[in-house]
Amino acid sequence: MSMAKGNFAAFLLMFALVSVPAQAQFLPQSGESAETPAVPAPSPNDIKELNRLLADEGVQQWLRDAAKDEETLADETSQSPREIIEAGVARIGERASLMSQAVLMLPTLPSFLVEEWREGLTSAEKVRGATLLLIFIIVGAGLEWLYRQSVRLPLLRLEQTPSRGPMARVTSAGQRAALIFAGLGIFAAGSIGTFAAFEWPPLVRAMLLDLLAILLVFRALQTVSLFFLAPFAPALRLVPWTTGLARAVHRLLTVATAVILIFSVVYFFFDRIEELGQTAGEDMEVAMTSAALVLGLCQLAVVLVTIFAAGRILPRYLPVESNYDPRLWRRRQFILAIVSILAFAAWVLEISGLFWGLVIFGPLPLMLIAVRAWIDHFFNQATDAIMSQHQADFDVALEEFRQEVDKIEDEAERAAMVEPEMPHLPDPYPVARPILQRAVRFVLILCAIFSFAAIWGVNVFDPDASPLAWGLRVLFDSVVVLLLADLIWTWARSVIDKRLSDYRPPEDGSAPGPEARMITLLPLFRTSILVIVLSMVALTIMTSLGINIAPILAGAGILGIAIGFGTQSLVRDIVSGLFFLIDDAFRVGEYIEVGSLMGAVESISVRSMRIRHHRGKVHTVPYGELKSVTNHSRDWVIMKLEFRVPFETDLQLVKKLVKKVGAELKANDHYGPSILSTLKSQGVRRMEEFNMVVGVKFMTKPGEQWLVRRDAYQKVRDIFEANGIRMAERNVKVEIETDPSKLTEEEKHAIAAAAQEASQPPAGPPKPIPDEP
Amino acid sequence: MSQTLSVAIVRRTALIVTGIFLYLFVTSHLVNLILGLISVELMDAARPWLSGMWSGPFTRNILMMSLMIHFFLALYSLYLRNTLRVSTYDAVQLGCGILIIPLLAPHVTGIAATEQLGAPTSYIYLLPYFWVDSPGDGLRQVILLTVVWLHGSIGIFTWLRAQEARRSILVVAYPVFVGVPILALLGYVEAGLQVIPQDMGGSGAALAQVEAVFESFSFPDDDVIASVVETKFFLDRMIVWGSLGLVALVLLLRYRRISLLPRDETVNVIYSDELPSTISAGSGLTLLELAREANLPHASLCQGRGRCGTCRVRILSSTSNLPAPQQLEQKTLSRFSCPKDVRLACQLAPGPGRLELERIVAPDYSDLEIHDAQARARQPEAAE
Repeated sequence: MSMAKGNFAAFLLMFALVSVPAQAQFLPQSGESAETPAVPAPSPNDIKELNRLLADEGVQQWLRDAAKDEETLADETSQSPREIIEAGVARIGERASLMSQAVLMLPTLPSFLVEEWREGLTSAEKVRGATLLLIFIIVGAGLEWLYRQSVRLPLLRLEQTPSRGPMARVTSAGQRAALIFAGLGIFAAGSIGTFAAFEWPPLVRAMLLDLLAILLVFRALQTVSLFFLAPFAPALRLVPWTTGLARAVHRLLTVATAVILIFSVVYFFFDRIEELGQTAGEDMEVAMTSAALVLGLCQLAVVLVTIFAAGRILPRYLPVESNYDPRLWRRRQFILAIVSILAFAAWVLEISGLFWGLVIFGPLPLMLIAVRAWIDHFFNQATDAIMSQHQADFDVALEEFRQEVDKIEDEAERAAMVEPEMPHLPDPYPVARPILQRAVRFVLILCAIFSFAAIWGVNVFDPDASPLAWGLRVLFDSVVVLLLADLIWTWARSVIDKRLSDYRPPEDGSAPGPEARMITLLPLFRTSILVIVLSMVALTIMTSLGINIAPILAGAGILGIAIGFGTQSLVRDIVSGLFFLIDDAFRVGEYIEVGSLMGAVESISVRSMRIRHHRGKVHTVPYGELKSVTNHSRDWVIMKLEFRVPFETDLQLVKKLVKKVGAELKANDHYGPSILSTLKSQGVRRMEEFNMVVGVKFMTKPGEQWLVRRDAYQKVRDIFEANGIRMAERNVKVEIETDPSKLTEEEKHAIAAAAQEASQPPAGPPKPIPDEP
Repeated sequence: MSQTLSVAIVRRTALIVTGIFLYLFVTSHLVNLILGLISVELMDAARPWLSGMWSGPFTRNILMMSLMIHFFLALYSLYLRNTLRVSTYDAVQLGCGILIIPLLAPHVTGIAATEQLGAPTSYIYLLPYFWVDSPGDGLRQVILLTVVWLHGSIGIFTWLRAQEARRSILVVAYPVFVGVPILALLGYVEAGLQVIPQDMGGSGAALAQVEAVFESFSFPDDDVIASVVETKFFLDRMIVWGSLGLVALVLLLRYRRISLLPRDETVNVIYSDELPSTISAGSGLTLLELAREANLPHASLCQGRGRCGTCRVRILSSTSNLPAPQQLEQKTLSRFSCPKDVRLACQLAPGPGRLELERIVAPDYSDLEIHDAQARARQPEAAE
């Protein structure tokens, strides 16, 4: 019983946070607890005798055997479901008969209690207890008042500074809660400290402690409510509510917790009466059950009234534009009410598992919904703040722009100025929001499971426990693993998705940046993370179920080797693909050359990549086939051009003209910036039979060279023509020594044939290979 | 400005003077109780100097008169209150004030009856009564002490806080406010434990002396005791119900007074300072009361008694009828040598209309020192 008490404050705190009926403290009492105090303490002689016996080896051996027997016995009983059910039914039957007796006793209950109360404590003791309680409270309150005086101004400042965004609001609310909680701590230290300084009869001590604890719990709950609702400081309110609504909720919570705690105090008194009671045994048990029944009913009533009062009062304060759905609201109320009633029934029948299950897990979904909405509200607020800042910045920029435009005198020019559009601002919290929501959900569910396990006295980490504990542990492990996996997966997915969605594909003609490689790798990572997480979840759950996963792992290993041999080329493709990606040999969008194939990388998969030839053909190349990759889209490209000019051309002039063309090209708006080193003459590259070959070259960013080359050719030709430089043509000079008019037809034909032959291109150096798509 | 004192100032001064006097009495009484931490004998030894000096025929009358004056003046203040939605301090002080006389009456009549019977009023004689014979009365004493101390301390605290010059005293006063009642109560408990027999949970250390006192004293006849006790209870009832009845009557009268006030006309108050806000409410209340009803933060160290001047506001524009400052307000305003457009929010009850103003002292008192320093700097010029 003392354990239940010890847990009480902590649990009560938690339950009140969850706005769960505080019936919690009515932990069903078994019959023995009433009789425990009747057993006299062992005398020192008995203890000495016991120690002597325990030291004896024979006795130790016998004890061990007996314990073993009992274990097997216990195993047998636990193994038969029929017996378990029978025992359970019998227990519930006993409980029901006790309940009926308790109901019959109801009319005489008050007089019985009064009698016991009177016998238990003299009136002097009672009044002295009250006096002392008052004194402790005064001591605590006095010290707290002094403290509050010292922090009064900071507190006022916190409450009255207008809010500057949600994060600042959380910080301020947290600071205020910390200040108030520190005061509460001082109150507790002052009151309980003075209490502890006195010597007490055990009964008075227990009662006063109960009262002080209840008072502290009440005040702590108040502070928590203040932290969230801030009914008197709108600047610190963490819920999206109006002052009226926050105040109404705060009041409702205050009244409900106060009433429930007062009932708890009464219950504690009954409890103490039971401890010190003069009437032992059956009667007392019936009376206490009866009293507890009454109190339980009262608490149930308070809970139900609170639930329905909330439904009545709160909508009145909701702002008109809120999306309040009365049907949903009513349904939730109804569910909560049903859960409370069922929990009460379970408590009456002493089915503690069901009771605690309902109390803890009943309101959990609603809480999860509420917390989710709450976090959403927060992020929405933060996003709104950022958006409005963005809008304000843009407005300033727009205003400046308009002033600029107004200064322009020319009408046409003014019309040409287009007002800028507001740049799109992406969601600032694409990762934090889902992560925080998952994390809070994780913590909540974990708390629920932990408290459920703790109430059942099950240590989820104890390896050899009962089947129930085993089941709970499996459940616990599975849920924890699933939630963790969910957390990791959500994090990974949202981070990867954000990077993917942030990626802007390179504009036509410009080279893709380093981010392009991540775009090829990230989907791979995402899939692998999903596979790894899923398999780890499966393995962990199997382990906690007690399945030995070592053979599975070994089998998977062997299978892996077998499959590896069978699909050698597949493995080679995948592995070499991975290395190509790590080497950053190519990225999506780059123009590459693989063996005899050329084209732009269109997509990259695990096994192969797809290359699109510039004439539309699509090549699929497994990575395993790649020996070397030539990438045409990296950093820079040099292009060399040649012009054939007659021998009499002025080379100085050519050089000057080429330089001029180079400057023109560089000045081009469109591709000028992509030219890294503009067109320049390299002089005569070689002499040929009939002409000189003048070389020129330029360097651009990859992908830009074609356009530049086109213009370079055109401009050079034009400028040469304008300056009287002709391009060399293949011509054959036929020298006729006789008078041409005297040539016969036959001779003319022979001359033409010879000239024809001479003008055929020589079988000399090979033509340059076309190097463009 | 006329030099005749206005009624309001006299009332306020009388309240605080009688209050301080009563507070001193209570304090010395409690100091006597503190000695219980050492021994009951010491309590009795110090009694003539601490509690006893107030029970002489002369001091007793002055004390009674102070109590009466304080009580009736407080009732009159209650009658004048426009709203009962007051600050926490005021609410606690008011509640405690109403409870004091009903709680105090049995104690006073009890002491009178004890004296009448010729019994000693020493602690060694009375403590067993409170701790063993009639612990209910003992509990009442503790409640009385708490209530009286709360009431008095709040009064003194607000008075000290109200004026900048007195605020330095607060450093000394804080420990007194908290320490005296705590130590007194602990002394009361410790002394009680000494007179409670061991089988009832006490130490019984002073039981021998108790026996001695009871043996040395012979009670009068039972008839006499019965009549004295009867008179005491009759008096108790009279005082308790009389005082509560008076309070109820005053509340009724106040209710009637307020229901006669024209409150159907609205006044719009617009605050245009760092915390811009608007109040729209029925006229008849002071600005401070309006702000409090609208839950707007407003600096006010003296809780609206017109002492501290922290609630002063600057009227920026007004279409409503603003009554000229009374003498009480004028006195405080001149202390800060305020210009004409500055008024005290706790005294100014604007008529119907529209009023735009700004608070001078920030509601979180963050600039209080600056304003005080400025006022001090202006003071000599104003004096010349």
